[in-house]
This record gives sequence, C-alpha cells and structure tokens, in this order.
Amino acid sequence: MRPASLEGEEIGNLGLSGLRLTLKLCYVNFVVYLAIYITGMYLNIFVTSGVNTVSIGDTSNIVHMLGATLNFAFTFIVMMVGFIYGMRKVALFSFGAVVSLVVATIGGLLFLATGGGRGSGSLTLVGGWTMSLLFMLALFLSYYATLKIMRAVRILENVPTR
Amino acid sequence: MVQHAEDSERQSKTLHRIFVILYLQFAFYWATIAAGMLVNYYYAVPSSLQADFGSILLQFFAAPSLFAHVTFAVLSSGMSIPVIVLARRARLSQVVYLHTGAITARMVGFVTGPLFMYYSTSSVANSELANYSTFIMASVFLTAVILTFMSRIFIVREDVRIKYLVAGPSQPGKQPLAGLGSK
Repeated sequence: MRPASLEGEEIGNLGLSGLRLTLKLCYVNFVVYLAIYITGMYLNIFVTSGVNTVSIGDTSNIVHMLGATLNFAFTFIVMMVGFIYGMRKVALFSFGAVVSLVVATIGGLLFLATGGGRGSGSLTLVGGWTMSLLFMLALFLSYYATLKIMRAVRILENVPTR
Repeated sequence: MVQHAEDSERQSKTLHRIFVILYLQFAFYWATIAAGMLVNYYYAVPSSLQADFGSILLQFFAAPSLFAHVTFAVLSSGMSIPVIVLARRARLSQVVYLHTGAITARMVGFVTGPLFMYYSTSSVANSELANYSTFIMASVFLTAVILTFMSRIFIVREDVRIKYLVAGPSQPGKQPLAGLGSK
C-alpha cells in the first residue's frame, strides 16, 4: 500500500534500523532524565533543606552530575544524527535541549559555587532556578525530538517509500 | 469508500483536538513546576498555621506562589479529562488508561501536598515526614508527566495509521487526509 503523501514528514536518510537505534538511545536518555530528576529532588528535599548545603564532592551530587553528563552526551548524539541525516526538527529540538542543558549546568555550578544551599543568597537561588527550569525545558525538547523520530520509524515501518 | 474516508477525517480531527489539549496540558505542567519552584525557594509554612484541614486549605489562598502552584496543578490534571473523553471517542484505549493513571497519580499528589503542610505546622513539626510527603508529591507529579508523555506515542501512531494506511493508494488529484500534518 502506498502513502497518500509524505509531504511535510521528516523521514531523513538514516534508514529504519538507524532510526530504531536512535529511538532506543532516546528512551535510554529519558531513563537518565528520570535519574537526574530523582537525584535532584533528593538533593533539594533531603540534603539542602533548611540551612544545609551541598558541595561538589558529595556522593549524591556526583551521581547527579554524572547523570547530567550522560544526558548531555545522549542528547548531543541525537542532535548530530538529526543534523547529519536530514531531520531538521529533530536536530533543532535536540540543539535547544543541548543549549538548555549547558546553561542549566552553569546554573548548577553557580548554585554550588555560591554556597550550595537555599539560605546561601539570591545568586544561589538564581543558579537553582536556572538549573531547574532549563532542565525541564531540555526534557520537553528532547521529548519532542523523540516523537519526531518515533513518527519517522512508524511511517517507515508502515509505508514503503521506494 | 466515501464512508471510510469520512471516518478517517473525523478521527483525524479528534486527534487534532487531543494534540491541542496536550499542548495546553504541557504548558500547565511547566507552569506548575515554575510555581512549585517559587514555593520551594521562597515559601515557608507560617508558624501560626494550625494542623487542621480548614486552616491548611485556607493557606493555599494565603500565598500567591502556593495559589498559583495549586491552580496550575489542578488545571494540568483537569486537562486529562477532555483527553480521556476524546480518546474514548477515537477508540484509543491506551490513551484513556494512561491519562486515567495520570489523574490518579495527581490525586496522590493532592493528598501529600497538604500533608507536607500538616507535618510542617509547629504543633506537629515532623520534618522527616514533611520531606517524605514532598518527595512523594514530586515523584507522582513526574509519574503523571511520564504517563501523559507516553500517551502521545499512541496518538502519533494512530495519526500515522490513518494518514498512511487507511488513506490507501494515492490517487491523481487527491489530497492527503486533512488535519495534522507532521505532529
């Protein structure tokens, strides 16, 4: 059965197996996002509550930062796949996520460098705000990139294009 | 054949409505998070707060950040109701289940949120349980977000199905099914 029209769809030229692999990477990326969210909540609620602070060498913070590094790497790979294999929206959404993650990391480092606690001053809170909001933005952007890849996979699975 | 095309057209329009509501829901999720951070960083439970239901309920109207957080939480949860109605109409049972799960998760959050305030009152003052309540509230919120995220997977699948499989072979002069384009 042939398609009604593939106009407006971004299939790219990676091929079905490559897209499936990228989709798996996106799913793994979401597991990492989840881990970062949970460690972030743990740090926020159980470590930095009240006047307590967190430092860069704390175990929970190291786990959180390792997660963020993996997150960056996976999102960057998806972005490059989008750019190289002609999936403009995937590339742009992932690019937005990468930029958000970089700025969020700067916010996180600002949070740590200026005291690492809720009572450490307004600059620390600005760091915390930047980190949290941009993390969520990155999550949403990565999600939309994943949906685009998933849509391309579904189309290629169901519609012979050659 | 004409009946079939009309059904597909109707299905496509229903999916389009679901997409619009989901965009709105995600916007409310984001607003809930932003207001939640305001509460997290700038709101402290007043020492005068009594550990009873009425006082805690009134407290939601006392601080703008708290009010905004609760309002957006209610709005984002409420968006699942039209999605469920439309998904039932489109016979997307997975979407119905996922959004029912999301609403259920949010209900847990609506219990643990006030519990946080209860445990933070000066008469109870149990910071450990207050922390656990907050942690559960944030976790079930994330669960709801994940469930609604997953629902979109099934909607995109259905969209692709009706656009490329139900539509059938392309005919000269015939346009693709109206509606969604690439979602």
